[in-house]
Amino acid sequence: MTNLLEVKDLVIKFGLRTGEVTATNGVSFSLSKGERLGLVGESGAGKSVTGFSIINLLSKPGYIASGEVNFLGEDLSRVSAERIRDIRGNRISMIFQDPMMTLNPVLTIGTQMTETLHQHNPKMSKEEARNIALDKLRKVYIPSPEKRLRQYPHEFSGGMRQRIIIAIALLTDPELIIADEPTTALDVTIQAEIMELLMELCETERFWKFRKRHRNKIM
Amino acid sequence: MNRLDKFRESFLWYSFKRDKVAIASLIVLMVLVLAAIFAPLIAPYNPYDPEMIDIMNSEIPPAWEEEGVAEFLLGTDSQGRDMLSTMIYGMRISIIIGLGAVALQAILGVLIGLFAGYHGGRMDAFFMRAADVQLSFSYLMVAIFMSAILQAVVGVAKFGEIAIPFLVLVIGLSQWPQYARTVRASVLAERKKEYVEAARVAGFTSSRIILDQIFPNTLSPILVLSTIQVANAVMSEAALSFLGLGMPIDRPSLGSLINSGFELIFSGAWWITALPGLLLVILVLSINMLGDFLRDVFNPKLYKG
Repeated sequence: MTNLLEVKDLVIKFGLRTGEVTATNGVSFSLSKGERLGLVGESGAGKSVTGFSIINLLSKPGYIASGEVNFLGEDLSRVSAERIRDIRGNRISMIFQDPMMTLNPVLTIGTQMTETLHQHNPKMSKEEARNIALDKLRKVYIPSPEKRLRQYPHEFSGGMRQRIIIAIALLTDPELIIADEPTTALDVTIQAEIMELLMELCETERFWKFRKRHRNKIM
Repeated sequence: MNRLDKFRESFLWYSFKRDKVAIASLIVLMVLVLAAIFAPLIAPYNPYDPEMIDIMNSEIPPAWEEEGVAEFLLGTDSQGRDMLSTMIYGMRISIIIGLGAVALQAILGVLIGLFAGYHGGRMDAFFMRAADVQLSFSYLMVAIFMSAILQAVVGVAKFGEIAIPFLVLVIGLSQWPQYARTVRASVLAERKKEYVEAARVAGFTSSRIILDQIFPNTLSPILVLSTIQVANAVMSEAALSFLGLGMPIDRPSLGSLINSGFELIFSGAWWITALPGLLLVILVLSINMLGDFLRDVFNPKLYKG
């Protein structure tokens, strides 16, 4: 069975004025379909940077110095900008740390969900996009999703927002989901809820990769 | 919940109900705008119809003065046109030019500000320097130059017909940097927020991130700036027309009316200049008051240009 994701000898460096800083030095791991993988490390160990490098979104002074990121046999660190955009959010999606920040404050949840769908499939009808969005919201146990679709992010609690972000990550049925410390910003009971939800979705839905926080007990 | 109910529950409506100045200025503005829209129905005379103008009626003072007549409530101008009708029609032209110029400024400035702010780098540097250059030309100078060329090309008679789009163009082009700078400043703050990164991770193209995600977040400073810019554009138009570069005297705006009476002000016919001037002040003041109110509600860190 071919691996879904294979990271080989990944070296990420940050070019600074004072010289180069190596963020990750030869990271290798592989992940097959349906498998979960957790990355544990202290803060600053390079977990987030590794995650961003998979979808080729390292922010400016950072770059991939050597190594490969193979996603279904394709080296994502070398493909064209259009190709990677097609993969991002469509076949690989990502869940961020802080649910308070990752939703656009002035757009309704419904707009944000349907826009993501339209970006990857411009021909999709509005009705169809809405139905997919409703379906995903039900999967993450958002009560009365029809009403919720018309609400803005500030009308949700932190835990609810993280559920919505998970629902957005699920929208296009991606093969791989990178979860970058998805519970850092939440309190302990909600952390447990979100983790349970993610675990459950792993079983029923798709293939996941977890990148998780440095607190081992949640791993 | 429909949109009207949502608006009734909003903070904007809540603060509006408690702000007497805002209510008063909105009422004044609505009366003026409605009068301008329905000018043909409201105005007692049609100032564009030469048959209704009698030169023998010229320079009749307002009705409350000794020599005034009830037919012409606010008197007549030097050509015998009813002041009230001419002012309503003039205000109509002023408002059309003001809104048109602001629409042009806003489209240009917002687009440039959004893309320059988001992409940064050379594109940003180019457009912001262009804005600096644009702002260092006085719009009066540009207008004098352009109208001189245009009048030479199409002739003075034809110029009157294209004066409205010409004024929209001159005022619109001279003020786009105001929008570009305001929008760029908010884009610079917005693009570092995580929802933009999340959109990028979700595979959005950069133009969709700019238009669908960032643009709605910059709307409140744009709205506040627009009210101020409408007032500015109306004033700019009046200034240009006063200098004889704007609307011709047979289709006067408020500015050309003020100008037409200016020579007569010392011969006692004060109303030809003073009344359109007063109307202009009321119009601009009510727009500015509303702008102040909006700025207080949205509270953006905006320099009042």
